Amino acid sequence: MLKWLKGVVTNREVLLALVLLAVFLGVGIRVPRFVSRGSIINLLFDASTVGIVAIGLTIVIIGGGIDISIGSILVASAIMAGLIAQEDVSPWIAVGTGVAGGAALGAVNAMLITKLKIPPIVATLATLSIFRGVLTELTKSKLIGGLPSSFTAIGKGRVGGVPYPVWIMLGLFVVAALAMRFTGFGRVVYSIGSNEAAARLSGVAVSRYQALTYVISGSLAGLAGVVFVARNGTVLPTSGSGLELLVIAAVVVGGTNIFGGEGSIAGTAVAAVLLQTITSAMVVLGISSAWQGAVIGVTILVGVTIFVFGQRRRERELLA
Amino acid sequence: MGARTGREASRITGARDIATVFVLAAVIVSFALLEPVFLSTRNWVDIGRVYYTELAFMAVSATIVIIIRGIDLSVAAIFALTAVTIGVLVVDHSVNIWVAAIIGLLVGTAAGLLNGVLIAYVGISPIVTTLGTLTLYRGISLGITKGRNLGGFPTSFTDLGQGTVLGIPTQVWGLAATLIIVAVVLGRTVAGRWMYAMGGNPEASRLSGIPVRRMTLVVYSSAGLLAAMGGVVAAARFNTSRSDFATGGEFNAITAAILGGVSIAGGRGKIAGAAVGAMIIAVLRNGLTLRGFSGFVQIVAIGLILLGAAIVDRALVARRTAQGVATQLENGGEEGESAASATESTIAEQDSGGAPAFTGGGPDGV
Repeated sequence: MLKWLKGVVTNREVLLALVLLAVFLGVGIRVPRFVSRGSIINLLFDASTVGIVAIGLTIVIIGGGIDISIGSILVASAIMAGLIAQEDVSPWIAVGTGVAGGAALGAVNAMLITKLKIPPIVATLATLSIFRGVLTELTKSKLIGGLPSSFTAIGKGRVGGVPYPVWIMLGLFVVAALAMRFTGFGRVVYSIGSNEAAARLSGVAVSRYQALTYVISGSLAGLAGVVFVARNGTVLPTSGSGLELLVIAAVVVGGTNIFGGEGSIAGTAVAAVLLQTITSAMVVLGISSAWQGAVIGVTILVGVTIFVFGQRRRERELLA
Repeated sequence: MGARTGREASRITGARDIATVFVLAAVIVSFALLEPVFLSTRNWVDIGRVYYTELAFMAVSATIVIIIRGIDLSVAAIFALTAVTIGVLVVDHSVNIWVAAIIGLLVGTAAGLLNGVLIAYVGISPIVTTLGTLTLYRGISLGITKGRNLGGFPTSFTDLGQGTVLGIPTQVWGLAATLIIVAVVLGRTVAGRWMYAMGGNPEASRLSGIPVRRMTLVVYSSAGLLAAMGGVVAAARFNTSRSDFATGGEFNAITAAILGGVSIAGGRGKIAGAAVGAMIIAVLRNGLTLRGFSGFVQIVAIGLILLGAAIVDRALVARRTAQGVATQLENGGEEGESAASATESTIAEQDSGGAPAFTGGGPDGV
């Protein structure tokens, strides 16, 4: 029983959830309205962009890759979806355009990485510039605005008092977590990430699965772009810049190994909410917004340090 | 055996260096033909002052870290932290500007040292460490300035960024001296050889007695100092300092290094290459600005050239592998063995090329 309890508590996701709970209650004691239903919903609402994008990046990183072009895919897809939505077509067509556009950009990354064999960091560093630049240059004369309410409802509408983007994020968390855990796809992605050569020798079509992870990541960044433009009613060329760093932060604080093969969607989900909770908590506690970045930076470093120490202890126990 | 592999390796880097210089020459010739003012002395002073020097400091910083198979995403944040440290000390605390500049350089070095400690001793991977410290250092910069522009420095200081010596911008002299020192350390000293060895094979380096952890500290601290020097120049040039200086500059620095032939997998690359890589970006941005193209066209052009460089790198490595196999088939005995070892090393390189790009000093993979 005690051993089981120890296992549960030292489990990364549970540990993170406990930290999240502690932050919540700690701030809640000082500022009771922080734990109100409305406040929690707003917090999840604010976490939804990072959360949705982080799902795709978690899958990419577990598979041994990296994608730093996600912020650019988000803005490019947001522009595409916004331009279509302005034409007063069915909102579903606009959503489809954004997601398909994101998937197409993800496929470009996939081709550069799996066909031309360019290291993922270099390939997506290049497309980070190219995607954002090309889309904003092509559409610079067309301001996005005056979107029909049927479309903006995707970003602002609510069901049961909870905004759609939160439902979308939560739904995707569940689907992705189940897919990574219980499907052949998930198992293959983990095996590629932990030992690519072994996966290839055991007959896995490594390139095809790796390509798929970038397409998934692109689609989710595209979907997040749709939600972004629907929620804000417009999109600027600079929107979503620097997002890649926040998203990678959520993924690694969530316990995913940056070298691949290890990690979970649940961890990412909790970490994305945790990072947003810390940001929101600083606001309600009246900590100057100027110091938020520093606090987030310390959170990232402390979070990963704890995991590194935990990992070392487990390795020692395995050896003993 | 050593001679043969050495010759093959130098043929590769030779071809890559020629490609880099050729791209720079092509960019310069195109703009010279398109834009008469491009070749004017005044424009080149402008390139040196506005487009090149600060980027080159960050590119050199990125290069020494990438050579040891690390990565530093916090380079531009250290650059900004140094600049605002100077601003805060001078404006809020009336510290003498030169004392402030030295403290700024020390703060930058300390920031690099913290990266090194987290990577070498705590065991967090370089990418994750510097992602965290990027956020932290930018956060501290914003926190201590509260978003203010802090400036109004004495002319003796701003001359560092705005003046010229013998017709060449002052900071270009400082950069040139720095480039020479770093190039000599890398190419002619034991420390330099250790760095390439660490990038080529960290485990073998450790086993052969190279003080890997201590060297990691030294390299990241030096990278912090180099980024800080760029930050001092920026504070002098703008006569002010802001926490958002060089936002996203880490990507430009890494791009310049890769353009210059520095292998993202570590163990390969030269300072001269990084300097040329930064020059390609600077000239491209200057020329496109003269032609009236927006910042977005510029970043697309830089992105495309980066892709081109990456594809050339792959082609050269693939060719070397093919050649190695061919030699191995032709010759028996020792010759064949040497080719085999060359082939093995290239295959290893290829594997690391296709695999996650962030490899590095940390023993644990978080």
